[in-house]
Amino acid sequence: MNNKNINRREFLRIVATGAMSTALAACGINPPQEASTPESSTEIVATSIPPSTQPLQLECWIHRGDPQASAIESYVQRYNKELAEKGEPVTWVTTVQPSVIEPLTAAFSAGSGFPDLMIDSTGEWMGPFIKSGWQVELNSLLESVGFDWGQMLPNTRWQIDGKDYFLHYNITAFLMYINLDHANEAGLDLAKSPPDTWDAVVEWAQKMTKTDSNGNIVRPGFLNLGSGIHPAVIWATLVEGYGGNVITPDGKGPNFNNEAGIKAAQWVLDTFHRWKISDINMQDRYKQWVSGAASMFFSGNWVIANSIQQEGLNFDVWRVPRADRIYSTCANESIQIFKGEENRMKEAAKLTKWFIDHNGEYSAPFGDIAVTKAAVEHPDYKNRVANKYTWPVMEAYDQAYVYPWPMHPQGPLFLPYSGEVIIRNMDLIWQGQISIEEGLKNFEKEVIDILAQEPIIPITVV
Amino acid sequence: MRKAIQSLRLTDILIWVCGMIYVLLAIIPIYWMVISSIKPESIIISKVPIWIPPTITFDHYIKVFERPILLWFRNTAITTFFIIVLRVFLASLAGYAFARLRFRGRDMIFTLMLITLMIPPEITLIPLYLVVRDLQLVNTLSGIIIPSIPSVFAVYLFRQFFLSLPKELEDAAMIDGCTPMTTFLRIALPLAKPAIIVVIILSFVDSWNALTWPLVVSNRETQTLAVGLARFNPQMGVATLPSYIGPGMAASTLMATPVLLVYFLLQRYIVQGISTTGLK
Amino acid sequence: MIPALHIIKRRLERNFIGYSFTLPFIILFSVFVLYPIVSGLLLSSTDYTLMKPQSSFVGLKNYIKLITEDNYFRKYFINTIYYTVLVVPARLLLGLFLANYVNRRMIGFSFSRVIIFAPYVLSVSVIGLVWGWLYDWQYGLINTTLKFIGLSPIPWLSTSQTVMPALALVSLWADVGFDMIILLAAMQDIPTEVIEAAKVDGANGWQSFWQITVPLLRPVIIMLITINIISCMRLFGLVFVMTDGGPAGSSMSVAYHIYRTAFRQGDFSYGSAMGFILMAFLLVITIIRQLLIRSDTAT
Repeated sequence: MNNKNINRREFLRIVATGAMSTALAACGINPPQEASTPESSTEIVATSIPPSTQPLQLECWIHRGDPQASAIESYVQRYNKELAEKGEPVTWVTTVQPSVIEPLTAAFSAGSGFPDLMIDSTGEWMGPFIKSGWQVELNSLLESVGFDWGQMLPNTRWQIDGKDYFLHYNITAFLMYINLDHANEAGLDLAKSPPDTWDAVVEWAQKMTKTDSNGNIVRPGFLNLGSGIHPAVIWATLVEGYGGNVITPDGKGPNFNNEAGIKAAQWVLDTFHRWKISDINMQDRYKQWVSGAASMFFSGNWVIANSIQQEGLNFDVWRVPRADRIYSTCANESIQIFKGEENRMKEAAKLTKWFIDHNGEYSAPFGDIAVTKAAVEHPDYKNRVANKYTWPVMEAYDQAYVYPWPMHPQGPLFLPYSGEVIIRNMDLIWQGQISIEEGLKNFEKEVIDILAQEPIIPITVV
Repeated sequence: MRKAIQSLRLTDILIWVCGMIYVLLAIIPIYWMVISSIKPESIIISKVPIWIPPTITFDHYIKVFERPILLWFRNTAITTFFIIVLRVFLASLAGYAFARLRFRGRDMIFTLMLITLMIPPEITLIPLYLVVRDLQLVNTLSGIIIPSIPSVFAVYLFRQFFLSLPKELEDAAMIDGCTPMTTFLRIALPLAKPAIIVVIILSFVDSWNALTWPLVVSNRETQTLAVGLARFNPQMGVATLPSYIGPGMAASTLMATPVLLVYFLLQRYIVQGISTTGLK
Repeated sequence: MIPALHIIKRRLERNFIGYSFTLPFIILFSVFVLYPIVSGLLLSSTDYTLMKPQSSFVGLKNYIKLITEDNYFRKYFINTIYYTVLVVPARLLLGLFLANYVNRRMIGFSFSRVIIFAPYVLSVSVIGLVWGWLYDWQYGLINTTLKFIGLSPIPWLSTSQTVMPALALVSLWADVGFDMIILLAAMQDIPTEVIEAAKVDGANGWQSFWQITVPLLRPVIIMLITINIISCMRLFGLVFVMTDGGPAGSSMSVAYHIYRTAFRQGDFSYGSAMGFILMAFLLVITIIRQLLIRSDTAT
C-alpha cells in the first residue's frame, strides 16, 4: 500500500516540477528583443563635431598576430595621449583577442560586451554581422568626422549596395615566394627567366626538390599541404586562372564543376603524386617556409615581414603565375564599427580617421600595404625594406586582377581562408577519399543549396 | 607478498617485462614535455631525437610570461579554490541529509539527481550558457564557479560515506538534545575527513583541468590555464616552429606541475576515491 | 486530536530541517543542471539563432533534419563512434593486462602504478599540446625516432586514415590508468581461495585468468565499458587542441561540432537538438547495460 501511495505522489510531483520548469523555460526562450537586436539605425546628420564632454571609455578589439597587433595597440595609446592633451575625456581600451568569433557571437547574443571598434580580417564573419545590423555602414559616420574617401587608392574599397561597411587599412594580394639559396643551387635565375606560368612553377619546383634514397621528399620544391586552407587557396586561384570561379562575380552560383575546376584540382593533386614537388603530409605552411624547409611558397604579402626578419632566409618574390589569365585572391584587413550609442560610434569614426591618417607610418615596419595616396608617399613607407617585395601586390591592385571574397550572410563559407564549405569538400579530394569529379559535383550541389537559402552579398570593388 | 624467486615462471617474467616496457613508454611524453621546455631553441628542431640536451636554458619560461600566464594562473586558482570550498560545503550538507535525515520526497529527489548523472554535460552546454548569460555572469569568474558547484557525484560520495558511519554517535548526540545541525557539524563532519579529502582532491583535479565550460563562458580576462593553453599555438599569423614549441612545453609543464604534485603526494586518496565509487 | 497535531508538527519540523540542509544544493542544482536540461529540450524545438533571436516553434524539424538530411552530422557521429570503438576495447584489454601486472606485486609495481595513472590527472590542453608536438610530421619525437631506426615516418595527424587512431592512442595513454585502478580493486576483492582452488584443479595462469578471474569481473567490466563509451562519445578537448576537426573533417567529433554550431555559427537551437540526439544514443547504451546486468543476476 505504501508503494502505491508514493507512486501516485511521486507522479504528481514530477508532473508539477516538469510543468514549472516548462513555464520557466517558456519565459527564457524568447529573449528580450531589446537585448538581442540592434535598434534601427538613425540617420547621422553631418554637422560640425563638438568636442566630447562626458568621460567615455571605449573598447577596441584587435584580431591580428604580432608584431602588427602590438603596433596597433601602441598607436591607439598614442591616440589616447593626443586626446588627453586636447583635454578630451575619451579613452580607448584595447584588447588583443586570440579569436573573435565566439566572443562576438556571445556578446551580440547578450546585447553587450562587444567592442565599439574592431580590427580584423575582412570577410570572415562580416556577412552575418552586416546582415544582422550589428556592423554599421561607415559612410555617413566617417564623413561626419571629416574623412575624405577620395584619398583611397583605386580598388581598395569593397562596397555593399553602394555603402562601405568596413574600411581597409591593409590590402594584400598573393605572390610567389622563392628561396634564392635553393634556386641558385639548382641553377635557376629569377631575373632571366622567372616562373611566370604555373607550368614554369612546376619546372622550377622539380629542379629544387630534394629526395632521399627511398624517393621520399625531404625538401619539397613547392609548398603544398594535404588538407586545409592552403590547397584550397591554390585550387581557387587556379580555377579563376583557368576561367572559372568559385562563385560567379554576380553572385548567382558556382562555376567550378567544369574543365577549369577539374584542371585546377588535378594540378593540386599532381604536386603530390605526379610531379612529386610537394609533401602531402606537411603541416604548418608558415613554419615550413621561414625555416627553409620548402623552396617556393604561394602566399600573401603578410609573410614578407617575418621572412625579412628570419635570419638566414635569402628570398625574393614574383607575381602570381599565369594560367590562362592572372587572377589573384586576397585577404585584407579592415576596421569595423559596431552598433552602439551615437556618441560611441562617432568616437570610433574619429579613431578610424586618425588611424588612416597615420596609415603610412604604421605600415612602414611591416609588409602591410597602405591604402591611401598620402600613406604610400610617407617617407618611412617609401623607403622601407618590404617595398622590395610588395610590387606584385601593387601591380595586382593597379591592374585590377584582385577580386573580393564571396561574402555570405551565414558566415565564412566560401572563403578559401577558413571557408568551411570549400575546405570540407576539397579536403576529401586531396585525401584521396573521393574522385575529383564526384567531389566537385557534391561541392557544387552544396553551394547551390546554400545559395538557395540565402544569396551571396554582392560586393563592388571601388 | 612477494613471489619467492623459485616459483617465478616464464609467464611472470614475460608479464613483468611487458609491463615495464609499457611503463617506460608511458613516461616518455611527460619526460619529453619537461625536457623540451628547457632545451635550447636551436636543438628543439633536430633530425635525430635528442634525449639529453648538452645544455639547458630557461629562456622558454621567460618567454611564456609574455603571455598573460600569471593571469591564467590566478583565474584558475581562484575558480578552483571557490569551487572546492563551496562544493564540499554544499555536498556534505546535502549528502548528510540524504543519508540521515528523513523528509518528504527525499528519495525521489535523490533518484532524480542520480538520473542526471547519466546525462553528459555537453547536452546542457548551450541552454546552461543561456541561463548564465541571462544572469549576467558571462565573462566573469563567478560564471565559471557557480554552475560548477553542484556536483551530484560529490553528494553521492558523501551520502555513501555517511551511511556507513555507525549511528550510535549521532543517536547519542540527539538524545543529549543536539539539533541536527550541531550533530552534523560536531560529530558527522569531523568523522568525514576521508570523504572530504577525496572530494577535495577530485574537485581540484577537475576544476584545475576543466576546459569545456570555461572555454564557453570566459573571455580574455577570465581565461583559465586550460583555456589559455588550448589556444596557445598561434592559429593565424606567421610563426616559426621553435618559437612556440619551447614556450608551449614550458607552459604545459607549469600547468601540469601543481596537479602532478598533488597526485604524487596524495595518490593514495585519489585512487581510493575512484575505486570505491567505481565499484558502486 | 492533540497527539496527532504533535506528530504532524514534528513531521513538518523534520521536513523543514531536511530541506534547509539540502536547499542550497537543490537550488543550484535546479538552476544549473535541471532547468538547462528541460529548457534545452524546448530550445531544440525552435529555430533560435544568434542572428534570428525572435524564434518560433518548429516541432521536430531540427531532429528530422539531423537524422535524415544532415550528412555532416552523420559523418561526425560516425567519426566519434569509430573513435569509441578504437578506444574502449583497447583501454579494457590494456587495463586488464596492467591490472594483472600490478597485482602480481613484482619489483617496481608501486612505481608502475603511479606512472600508469599519472596521465589521467593531466588537463586535456596539456595532453593535446604535448602529443601534438610528439606527432609532428617532420620533427616530432615519434617520427624522428622512426626515421632514426630506418622506418618510414607516419603522417599521424595529417591524413584522414591515421588521425582518429592517432587520437585514440593519446586517449589510451591518458585514461588507461582509470581502467586499471578499477579492475585492480575488483581483482583484489576476489578471494584467493577461488584462485587457489583453480590451481589445485590444474589450471595454469592463463586459463585461471581468463576462465575464472575475468568472468568474476564481469559486472565491473560491463560498468567500465558503459562509462567509457559515454566518456568517449563526449570527445571534445583533444580535437579542439590537436586537430581542429582534422583533415577532411575526419577527426571532427559530435561534441566539437555541437560547440561550433552553437558558439561559432550562433545556431543554438540546432546545436541543442544535436545534443539530445547524442543523449538518446547514450541512453540506449545505458539501457543495454541494464539489460546485461539483469541477465547477470538472473543466471
